[in-house]
Amino acid sequence: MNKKSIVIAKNTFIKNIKSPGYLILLLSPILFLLIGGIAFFVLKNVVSDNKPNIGIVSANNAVYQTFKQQKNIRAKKVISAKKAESQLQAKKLDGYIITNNDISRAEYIQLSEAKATFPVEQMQPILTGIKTQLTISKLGLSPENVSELTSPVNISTKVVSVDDNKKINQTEAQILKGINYVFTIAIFVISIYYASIAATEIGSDKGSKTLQGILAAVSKKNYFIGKMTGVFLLLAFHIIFYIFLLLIAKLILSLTKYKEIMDSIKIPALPLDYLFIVVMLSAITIASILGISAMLGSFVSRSEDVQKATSPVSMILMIPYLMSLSLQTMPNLPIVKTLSYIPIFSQQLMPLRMASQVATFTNGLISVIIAMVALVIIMYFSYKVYDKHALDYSENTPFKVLISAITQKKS
Amino acid sequence: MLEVKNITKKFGNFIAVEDESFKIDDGKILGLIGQNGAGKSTTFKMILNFLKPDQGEIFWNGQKISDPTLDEIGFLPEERGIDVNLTAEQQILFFAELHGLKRKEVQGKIDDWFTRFDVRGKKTDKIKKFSKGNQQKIQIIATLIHNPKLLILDEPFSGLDPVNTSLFLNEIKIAAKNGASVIFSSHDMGNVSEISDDILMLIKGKAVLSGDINQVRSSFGRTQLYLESPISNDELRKINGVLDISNHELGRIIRLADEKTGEKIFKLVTKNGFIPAFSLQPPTLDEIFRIKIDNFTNE
Repeated sequence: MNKKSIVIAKNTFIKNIKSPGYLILLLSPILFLLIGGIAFFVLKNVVSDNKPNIGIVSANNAVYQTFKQQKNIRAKKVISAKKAESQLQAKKLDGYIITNNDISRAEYIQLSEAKATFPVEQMQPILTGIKTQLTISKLGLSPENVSELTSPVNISTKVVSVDDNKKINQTEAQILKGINYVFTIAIFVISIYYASIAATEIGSDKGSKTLQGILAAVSKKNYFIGKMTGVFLLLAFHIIFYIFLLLIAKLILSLTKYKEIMDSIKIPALPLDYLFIVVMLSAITIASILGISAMLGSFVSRSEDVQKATSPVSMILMIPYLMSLSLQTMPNLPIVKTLSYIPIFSQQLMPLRMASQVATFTNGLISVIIAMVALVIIMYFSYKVYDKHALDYSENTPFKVLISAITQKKS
Repeated sequence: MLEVKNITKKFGNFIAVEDESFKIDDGKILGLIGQNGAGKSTTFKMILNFLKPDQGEIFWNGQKISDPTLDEIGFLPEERGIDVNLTAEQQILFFAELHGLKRKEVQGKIDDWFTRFDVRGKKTDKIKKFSKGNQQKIQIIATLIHNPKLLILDEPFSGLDPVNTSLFLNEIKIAAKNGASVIFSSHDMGNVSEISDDILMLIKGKAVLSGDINQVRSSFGRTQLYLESPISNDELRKINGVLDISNHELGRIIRLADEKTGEKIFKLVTKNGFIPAFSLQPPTLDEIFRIKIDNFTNE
């Protein structure tokens, strides 16, 4: 890369990384996470302190034993309804349950000033379960018979791909879909943020009239390359920062009492072909979005118009994002199939189709190649438009400028 | 040496610059004068490759201007623009680096430049903290910091007070003395006269006058008289060849049709002996500018 492009890239990177806006962008998820974590722990403690004391009045000991295992209440065995009533009056109980011997009837009495409640909707299935067990045992069935009768049916699923006749584990598919979901949201958010940064970088130099001074020292081409590189460096820094943070968090947690939880989290080995396609499509799409945003940024004459100029990018990104989220269960719709090969759309839809096991690595590769070709075209076209309009301060609308860029010769 | 050969630039049917040619030797200063829209900024943009001429060519030291040669150019645009969110030092260093200098080479020199331009404020302050005049000085420093060999200044004095104009004029003279070729545009003919070796006058994109400033003035003859004498305006107006009389300082400025009329007036006002002032001069640039525009309009 040209020396002057490096100076532009370095300046873009340093200027942004020191800006309050970028620091907020970088640190806000951590702050939200911290606030969320604190809120969770506070709430958890409040909830554990506020478990209702529930009296169990039943001749059948199984009722007390079952309720005792419920984590959201403190069950207390009470001999009679009278004693339960007096404990309720003394506010030692928040409520009590009375059942008859065969659990065919039950009553729940609750104190109006109870510190916490025990919903009847939760109570009902527990009592129904005990009643079912009791009825089955009356029929003289063995514990094995009972267990067999009450255990849920285990459905194992396998999907056969038509293309390669490969049987795929459904659990793996679910994991891939989940990862794809995370990627979809992450790439959408990153694209929106960095599209705005790219457009602002290009547009604000023009809008603040600094550009003429800069272009007297560096060619438009090297300036454009430098700006794009600077924004990519910011993005790379963002990703590396979070990877680093995750590793630190993992290290710290593994040294604390949460070590067991950390050890229990097993990230499944992801298929390399899927990962390759996801990473490639994500990188190419973000680069394409930055190119388009830079082009749109070059249309503005005033710095304050930059955000308006990039609004089409957000709208374009919204389409595959919403499609990907809403069509998780319909990856084979003709429209999804088609758009999974269309650049920008493909970033979210092809991984969805691959995760759903309806597209193969070859399909993904074709999508990557198409996106790559499109990226080259987008960057070339963006630069051409930029070259033509970098110093154009006319009040023409972006649409008019775009049309003139397509139809007119170079000035 | 900057060499501009027969350049023409059209925007649709509008001719911004037509068949313009000039050259500036090392160490020389060319003043580009013309009304608004005469083609001065367009000329600068073509030199800097912002615009491509429809015809003609531009050479800097025999080569077409490209990225490496841009290192030798300093450009101050008419519409001033600096990143007000950077500190003065960061902005100056950025432009210096863009022109191929190393940060260390420049860092030690910024204080000196601040003193030379009497910039009020700290170099570590953000530019938005500086007054408008001082912001302009910071941009001028960013233009000059790399000691350009070709200095292009578009209306460099607009917005500067007389004291700061004088500081800047002095810096331009120093740059030329150090061998830089300088081209600048200005509406202030006084400044153009003070520092230019040559002038180029543009009217509606056409060069109507060019050359050494003294020769250009002399070519119009000594037709401007500054006179301090008791003679009345009525007496003066009776003399054939007196075109116009206006009061100026302690005396009057009399515009003449030719030098011969000056001689006639000299004889008349000195017939009784001493008079405090009689100075027969070629027209000022300002007057030449008006004469040329009148002539062009009447053609």
